[in-house]
Amino acid sequence: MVEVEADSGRIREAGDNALATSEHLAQVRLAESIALIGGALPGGAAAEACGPTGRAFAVRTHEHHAAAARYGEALAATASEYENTDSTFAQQLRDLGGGR
Amino acid sequence: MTSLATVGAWDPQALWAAADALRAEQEALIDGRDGLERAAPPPTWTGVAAERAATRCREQANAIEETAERVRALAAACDAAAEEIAAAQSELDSFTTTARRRGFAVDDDGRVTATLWSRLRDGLDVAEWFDGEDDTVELTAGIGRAIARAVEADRTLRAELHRHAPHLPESRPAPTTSPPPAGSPREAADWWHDLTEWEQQRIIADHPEWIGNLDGIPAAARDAANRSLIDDHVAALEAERDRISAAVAERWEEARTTGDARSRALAEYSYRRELEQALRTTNGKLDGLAEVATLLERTDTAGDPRQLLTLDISDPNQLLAAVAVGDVDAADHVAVFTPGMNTTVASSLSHHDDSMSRLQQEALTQLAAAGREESVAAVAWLGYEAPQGLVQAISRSRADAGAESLASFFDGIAASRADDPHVTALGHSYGSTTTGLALQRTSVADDAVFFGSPGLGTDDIGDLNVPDGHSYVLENTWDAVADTGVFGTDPNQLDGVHNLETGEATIDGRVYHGSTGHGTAGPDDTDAYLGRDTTNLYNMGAVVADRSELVYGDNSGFGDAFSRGLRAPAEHPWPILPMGM
Repeated sequence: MVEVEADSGRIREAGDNALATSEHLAQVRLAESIALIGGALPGGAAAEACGPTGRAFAVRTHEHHAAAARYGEALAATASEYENTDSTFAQQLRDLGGGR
Repeated sequence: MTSLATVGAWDPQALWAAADALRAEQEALIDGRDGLERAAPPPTWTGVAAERAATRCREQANAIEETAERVRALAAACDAAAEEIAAAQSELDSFTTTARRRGFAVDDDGRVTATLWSRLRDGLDVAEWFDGEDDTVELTAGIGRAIARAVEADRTLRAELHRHAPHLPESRPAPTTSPPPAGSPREAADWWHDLTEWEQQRIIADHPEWIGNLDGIPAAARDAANRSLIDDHVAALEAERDRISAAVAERWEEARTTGDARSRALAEYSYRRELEQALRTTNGKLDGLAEVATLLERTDTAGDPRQLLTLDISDPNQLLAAVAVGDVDAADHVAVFTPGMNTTVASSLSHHDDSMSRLQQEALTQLAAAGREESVAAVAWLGYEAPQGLVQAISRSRADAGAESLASFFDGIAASRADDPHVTALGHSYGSTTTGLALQRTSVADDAVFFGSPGLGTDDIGDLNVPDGHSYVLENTWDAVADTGVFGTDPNQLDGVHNLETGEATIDGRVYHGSTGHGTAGPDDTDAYLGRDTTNLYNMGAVVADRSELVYGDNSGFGDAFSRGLRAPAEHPWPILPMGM
């Protein structure tokens, strides 16, 4: 049981890290950076490509952000499950008079 | 055309700033990747869920790193473009300043012209003005080069933007940019190269008909496109067959109810012939498609699948196809074989595919013997309407038409690859004429092998765009077709070709079979062109492997092999007549 308690804490910590990473990734602004290329080359061929390429990168970074968030939430939910199980089991032991 | 003003408005400093901004985003992505690695499940957590979490975490970190790498590449591309554009602008500034200082006019296209008014205004005489004409040409050319340099940098950056753009979800609309109409293989290759990987995949899925037969497109993409079209082609041909039957039946019904008995009989004969011919052609194409589908289940010894590089049902008379053994996109050595008379996809493709497999193996064996771990691809190219029967074969028209397609196919191999593979062109019989004519239109082939050839469409080997000393001729004993010289001087009499041995030979202690007659070998034949364990196959393999130092046979004009046959009538009392020209 002690090991489960320790694991759930580490799992929750990992989940928190993933959620923080997700927030960090949400700040990435690749489309804006790519648009700077278009601004530097008005009327050029590269400028025409900046829009679609920027959008593709924006979609991809959003996927990274969303995936990290889903992963973090899953870890947090798992940690909660372990903690609930642990708590329930401890209560059952107390009810049996065994204590922990 | 990009104008002087457009290039002048480009801002390298802003491009460098964009590169810096991208690098900052790349660092943010790397931080994100590191953050995710800190979010890996703890090692004390075990079991199925823990394993899945670890896998998921690792995959996401890898995906972020891949995006970061794309961004890093884009930043580097911006730097390179900025440097080139700055240099081009510096050159432009130098040329335009010189031109204007001398009183010349510079228009927006970069054309420099002397003006009488400006000359007189500056107090210069008219004679000097005329002397200045040459300088205007030089300055115009210099400005043109500088503009071209900047434009090239811009185009390269666009290609990099396309190349590094991530794949987008399937729900996004497919690209609508079709390939350049009637463009060259190089133009097709550039078009494809400029697409993002996602766009390329969508085109293969949504518009395979754009690229399946388009020279300049990589072999893997052509293969995927053509494979996906087989069912559509079958359906189209079956519908065509039904349409022909219905149309002819309708016309027959009309004729049957009008006119006298004689005219009705003539009409019936005529329509029956028309119906039979049309159905024969359509059924032949359907048989060919079935053959192709069967063939595509084969793999080479390395386990690589066949590549379907051409599949064309639009020819009025035949199905056209080309199938490669090995990977044409990556092979160090690429051989393209063109067969001759009476070739059809339905009756011949499998047979020639066997030959290409043997040729690939022979070349690989010779490479391995030299300790060279190089790869070989061999293409059976049935991409032209080969003559059916002697009446068609005495005309060069099909070879001329086929040569255009074959030359384009060679150019496409070169254009589709970033490197420069060793390429060998091989042609048998009428296919050697087609090959000879194609090699007068393209310079992609490093070596050429002609066997059983009635002529190369020239009397001068120098007309072929093949390096000197890299044209080879093989002629079996009792190959009467190879002595006809119908389409140019008998190739083994041409100055500058190497005549290679086709008779039995012992080479490095191994005995190779001699071959006779005109035909190419079946799977178990050991006495025909491309036959198993034959001297001719050994020689072709050496050329394909770029090991010409191994070729066996006299290369100093050993004469006509047919005459050897005449000198040994006891072995072959009658010349072997051409079975496949």
